[in-house]
Amino acid sequence: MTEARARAAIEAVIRMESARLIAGLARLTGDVGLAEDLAQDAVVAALEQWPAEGVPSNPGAWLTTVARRRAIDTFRRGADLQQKYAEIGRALEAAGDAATPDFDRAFRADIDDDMLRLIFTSCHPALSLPARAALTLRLVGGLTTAEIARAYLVPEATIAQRIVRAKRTLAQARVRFEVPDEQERPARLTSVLEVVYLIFNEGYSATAGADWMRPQLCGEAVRLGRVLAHLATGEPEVHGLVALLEFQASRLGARTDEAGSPVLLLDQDRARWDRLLIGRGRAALERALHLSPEPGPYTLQAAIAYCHARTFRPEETDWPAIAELYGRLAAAQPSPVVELNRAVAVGMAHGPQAGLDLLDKLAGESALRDYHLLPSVRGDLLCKLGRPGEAAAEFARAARLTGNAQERELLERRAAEAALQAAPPAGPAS
Amino acid sequence: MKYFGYTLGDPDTPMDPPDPEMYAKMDALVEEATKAGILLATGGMGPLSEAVRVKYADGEFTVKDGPFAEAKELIGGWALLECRDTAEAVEWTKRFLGIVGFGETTVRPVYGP
Repeated sequence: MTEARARAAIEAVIRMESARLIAGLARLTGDVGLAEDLAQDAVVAALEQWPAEGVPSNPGAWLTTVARRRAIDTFRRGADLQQKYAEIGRALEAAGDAATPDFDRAFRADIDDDMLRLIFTSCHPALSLPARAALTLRLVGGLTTAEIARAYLVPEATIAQRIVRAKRTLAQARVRFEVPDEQERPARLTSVLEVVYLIFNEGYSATAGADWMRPQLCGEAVRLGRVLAHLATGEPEVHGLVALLEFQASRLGARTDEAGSPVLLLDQDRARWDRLLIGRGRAALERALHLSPEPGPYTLQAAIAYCHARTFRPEETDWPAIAELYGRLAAAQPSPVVELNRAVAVGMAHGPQAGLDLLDKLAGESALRDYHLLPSVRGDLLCKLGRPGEAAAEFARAARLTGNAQERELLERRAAEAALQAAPPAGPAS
Repeated sequence: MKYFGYTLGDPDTPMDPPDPEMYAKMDALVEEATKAGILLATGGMGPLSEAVRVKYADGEFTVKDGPFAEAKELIGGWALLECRDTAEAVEWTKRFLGIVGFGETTVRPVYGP
């Protein structure tokens, strides 16, 4: 075994154990930040010892034991004594020897509950969305700050700072390590789902930079969603979000061409859609619909995505059904972006003029003023109405507004094509 | 990245009778891997005596009933995993083999569709 392979194996084990280690420690300490520090100490010890001694047969228990001893040592040394450490050290010492199987069993017994607590805590609304996302990838996803920074294409120091501040905010806000009670739960769950969806979208359509996608972030979000679905089985919107992510992930391989340029949904090679993920999405969607007679926004979006996923040829798309679902989505979660998508579906279902009429109602929306998809959709509908001159202007405007290099290129191309249609170059008289 | 793991072996080597403790451990592993979001699908193979091999060459189909002469065949189980990297797929495979007690599993990346 090469050294690199041994190193990769150790890192994989640590990544796999990380969330449960932190979750268990957070239950013992009641403090996520401290739990992560202790876990980090254990990880450093593992990176020192495992290369020579080999990976222990129960690496999770090994890491827990080391983290626990570290807490007790700190307490005993009394140096730099924090109240928190003292309390924990005392409690842990009272709990008996770290190496006993009883301790390990107790530590692992409620691991599902602890994982759910960890997710709710790292997605706490006291934190900004980017902070929640970074902390969740770190604590629940088990990624290092370097890995998160690489996925987001930002310097490692940026992510490290974000995580340190997030932990400080949680401590200052005295956020308890617990699953919120029934009254608080819906809002807190919304906050969790928002984080998972944000991570996915950050990967699905990179908002800035040259890459159209960062598939790794999509993968992390899908995984987080699947983990959550097994922890909060009775929550319809969790399954709705998972369904949505599975459907969207099923198209990852078809969303770019060989040159890395984006391919729009209706132009995608559907043979490249991942049928396995579509099947998983359908199962999750059925669960969501079964759990709730009134589908929430994620479930409705998943239902829309499924309309596309189940269709083998774009011209067979059930646009009236999609337009109807967008109508329900607009009622459940009114938003100009949803209205914009509804206009697209209505344009497909009932003709471009019907779509354009809806779009005109959005013209004054300040939220859409700098949103590149509004002129992009207008351009598309105008093209279909045989008004290429106006369409070219809309595409050009959309190209100026987008922050994504690949998308800008696509829009500029459409602008040029429309302009050419509007004023074809003089050819030989026929 | 998706990985397909499958276990090869000699179909003539007698397998130990089913051990309830091993099954319980395997169920726990399957549960853990499913909850971790990495296990997409898994299954066990039926006996080679019930297998059929379909061959197409020179415009002719040949259908042959198992068992076949070859010593090493896909036996036992297979699993389709979605892991961050090969190292992670290898770790899950080690946990699987650790419960079975012996064996050799090939882990291959799955491309496409």
